[in-house]
Amino acid sequence: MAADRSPAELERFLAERADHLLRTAVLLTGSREAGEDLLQTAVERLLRRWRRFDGDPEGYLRRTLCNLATDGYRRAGRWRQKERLLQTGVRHAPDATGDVDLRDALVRLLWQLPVRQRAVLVLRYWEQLTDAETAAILGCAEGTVKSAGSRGLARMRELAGDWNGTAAMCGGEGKRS
Amino acid sequence: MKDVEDLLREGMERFTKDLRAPAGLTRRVVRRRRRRLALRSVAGAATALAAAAVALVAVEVPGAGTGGPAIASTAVVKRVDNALSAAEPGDIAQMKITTHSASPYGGPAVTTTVEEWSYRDQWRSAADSPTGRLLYDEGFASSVYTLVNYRTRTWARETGLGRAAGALSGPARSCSSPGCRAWASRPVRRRWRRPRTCAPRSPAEGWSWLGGSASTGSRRSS
Repeated sequence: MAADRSPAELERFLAERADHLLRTAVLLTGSREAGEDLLQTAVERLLRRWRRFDGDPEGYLRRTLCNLATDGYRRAGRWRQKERLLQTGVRHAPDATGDVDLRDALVRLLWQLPVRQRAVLVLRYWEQLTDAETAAILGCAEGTVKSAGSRGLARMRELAGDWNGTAAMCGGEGKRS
Repeated sequence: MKDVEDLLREGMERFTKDLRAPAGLTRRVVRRRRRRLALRSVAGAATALAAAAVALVAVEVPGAGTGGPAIASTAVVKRVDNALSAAEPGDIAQMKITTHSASPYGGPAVTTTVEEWSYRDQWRSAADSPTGRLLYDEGFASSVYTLVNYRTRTWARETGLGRAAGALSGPARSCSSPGCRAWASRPVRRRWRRPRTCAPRSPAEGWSWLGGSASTGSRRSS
């Protein structure tokens, strides 16, 4: 027998979990606006079948977010690509430690990775999912998840290596030219 | 030195820690869905309107009327009207288009206002002249397209768009009965009535006028 859920139940669920899901969406898309848009689209899909929805809404939303992102959600946004390129050179004021800047840089680099690698890293390191769970959400083999994650991390390590070298040369302030 | 995985995790946490989902997310999503549906509906109505205009321009109008009773056309359009009245506001798409265009027959530019409504597979469109006088009214329901041209006092009906014009019919263009004169000179009211005194005849003039319809931008110089 299918569940007959009320809209109030959805509102309660979103009041509890929407913040976390928004953070996931922002990490997947790279900006708050795009993240909100992605989340609203996912919620809209859930809303369409909410009455008879029988399952874990958070899991459904997470899967929808990833699918929308990896399917090239609003891929037509050439402007967004340009925007990302423009953002590459922009850096916030450095914090007290080099590690903090490196964290920022890693998150920015995350958005330059191919969308599949990005989704894998977000699911593994933000959502704390296993390779198997990540593969189930992305609808691919576990091996694909492992290789995508490994490539993404390798790129991150390159950046971290460069960063440490530069930081050492600059006296540990973590500045990059 | 921390591992890059830990740094990435901390970076994600740090970067998104101030993010809060907008208040009333569900309501926003519901509104957004309604807007999307309305836009889709308007797009469908516009496509149907363009298709209807193209089909009508392509139809060869016979010299003499062969039509059925005039009440049939008003009944069809009335059905659209009723559907619009009964429908939920969220299901209805409505738009108003004001067009300035050169007259296809020469002379000064013409400003026409077309108001369209659509509801599921039904739509209705009414065009006003620059002086606010109702020029024509169109409706499409149950595969029947109906046009009433108030300017020429003709009407026509087409069952199944693009078919031969055998089903077209219309009242006289120059009916001099008192009922017709009174009807033509009355103030604009969105009512689907016509005088019963008009006998069916060719709506040819009506079609040529429709060719210059503001809502499609097409021209016909017949």
